[in-house]
Amino acid sequence: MEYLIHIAILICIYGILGLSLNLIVGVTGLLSVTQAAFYGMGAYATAILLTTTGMNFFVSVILGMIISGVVSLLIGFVLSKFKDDYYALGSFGFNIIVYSIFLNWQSLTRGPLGIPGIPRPSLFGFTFSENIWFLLLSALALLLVYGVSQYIVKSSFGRVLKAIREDEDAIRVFGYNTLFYKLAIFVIGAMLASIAGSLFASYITFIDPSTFTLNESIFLLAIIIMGGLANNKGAVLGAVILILLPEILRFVGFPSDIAAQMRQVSYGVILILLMLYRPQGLVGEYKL
Amino acid sequence: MKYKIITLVSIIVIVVVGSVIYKEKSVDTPEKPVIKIGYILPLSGNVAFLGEGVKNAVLLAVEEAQKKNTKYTYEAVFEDDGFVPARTVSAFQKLVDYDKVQAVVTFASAAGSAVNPLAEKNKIIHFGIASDPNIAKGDYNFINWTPPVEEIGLFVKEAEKRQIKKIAVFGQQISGITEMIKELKKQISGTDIEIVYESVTSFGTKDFRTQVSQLKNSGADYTVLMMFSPELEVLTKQIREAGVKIPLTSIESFELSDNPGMFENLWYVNAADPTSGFTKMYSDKFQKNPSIATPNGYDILGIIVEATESIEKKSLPNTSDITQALLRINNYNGALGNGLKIDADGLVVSKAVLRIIQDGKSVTIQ
Repeated sequence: MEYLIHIAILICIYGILGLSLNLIVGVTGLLSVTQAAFYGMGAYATAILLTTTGMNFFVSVILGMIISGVVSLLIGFVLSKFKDDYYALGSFGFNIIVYSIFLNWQSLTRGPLGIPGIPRPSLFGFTFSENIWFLLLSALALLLVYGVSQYIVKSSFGRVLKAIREDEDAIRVFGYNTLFYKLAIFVIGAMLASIAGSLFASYITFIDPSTFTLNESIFLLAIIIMGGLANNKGAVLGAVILILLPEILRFVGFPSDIAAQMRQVSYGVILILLMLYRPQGLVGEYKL
Repeated sequence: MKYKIITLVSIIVIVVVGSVIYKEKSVDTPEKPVIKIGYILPLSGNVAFLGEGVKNAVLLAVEEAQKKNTKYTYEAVFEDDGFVPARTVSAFQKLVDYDKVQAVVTFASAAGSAVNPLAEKNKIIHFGIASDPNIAKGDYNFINWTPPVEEIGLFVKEAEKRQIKKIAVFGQQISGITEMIKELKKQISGTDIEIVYESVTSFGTKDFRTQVSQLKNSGADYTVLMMFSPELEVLTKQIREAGVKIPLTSIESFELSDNPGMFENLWYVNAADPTSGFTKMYSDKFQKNPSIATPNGYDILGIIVEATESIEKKSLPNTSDITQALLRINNYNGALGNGLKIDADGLVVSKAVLRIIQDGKSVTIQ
């Protein structure tokens, strides 16, 4: 049962990441490949604060969100001036910069050694040490982020974001400051991703830079494309499928000497087939 | 479409939940009780060749255990983590919850660090094939790898013997190598040896020309390489192309190369040697020489077998019993030599060796 709980926790964490990225890519149409950087910022903020100052987990989550928010504000200001492929390239570069900082600022992050012994969250004397309780906490966080995402999508603010996605020039003609809207959603997405990072650090209890590479950003992009862009349910559904799929493949009885390679091939083939037959994702409202 | 998606997701969930529950309720009735050992290895990705080597060695160890008249049947279960710590945790949970393993073996320091607290919490024996000594912290955690203090100790001794005063160091951003460089700096303080140039690069770096030109002007007597393949070979080639004559040596790295002929007649320090008996057995079976860490993987299974068999108990020993028995191991004859023991810190004590590449093969000289 612990294994299932573990998978469910990962689904919650990646569901939050999917939702946060969906606001930027799916709803606003900004092809960002930098979400792993903000995920990492949340994780490192929690890991460092918890291990060095003994701070409460929930305070560290808020601080992580603030740090991610401030950094995303700065970088988003630059990125918001770009469109389409240039936006993707800029965000790509930012992910590499943040990864390099995690790796090289050894006095703070311990570099490749990673940070071990990150404590589990506690609240009013109750520690979420059992995985079932941690699942409850993660599910609550997922629900909260889902609620925020739904609220944004359905609000007038969300409608402007969708309009930017469809035709940025046209919406600008109507007097909307698109730079502000793009910047705002980028910051919100980064802050939400930071929550997932804090949960991840406290759950795994060990982090190192290898989790927050560009590959992870691409994986997050795959989650929302698979689930369906611009649909919050799709972002969660994409996380469910892409987290479950490799785990299911562990149970397929491939010959032991080629099992690992066959799992990778099968995973790739399933993704290609899904994209062939559902290019807009499973419940997508928008196609890149 | 909506219903199709709901059906698809429901089927996936039912298959996973069902298979886990079925496994939990199914009762195996083999002739002898089974002790399962899970190996979480990088069987895919850039260092899959190292994981494959360990896997082969473990299969050999299982065969050897089956030949003996043991009280229990020993089984190895392999899981791939692709060298990613988050996937190591998923593999660990699957091995513990679904396969019901009594022990888990991880490869490299990051994987070991991720599993260490889980092993303590779940009371599962954990062996790390890793250099970070923190991985052995706790009652259920052990390491089977020659510790950096041993390897660096031998390196410093050899450097002093050869009157090497100034060294240049090339490393990579991975926890094991970072520990090595840290230990090197610690051990050379108070000696005449100093690091005059240091370059630590990330995996995938292929252009070292800037570093090579800095090395050329560093005044180093020797260049110490602590790198994985293929960056190791790329750097070596670029050093030679630039006409840098500073001799090369390494800690473990030449052993990791798939082209050791590049390092002909160069000496280096390596983790404990596999015995000739193990090397022959491995080569006969797989038609290739054992890669790094293969004897460690082999010995971990052998040590667990010896410890478990030594327990005088009618019922199946639990992990706490096996842990106690492991700490009593003090004369195990395995792939890393005779008389191996586990110290109070949970480290399988083994000695570093000095080797040289001759005719494209590594030969132990001390």
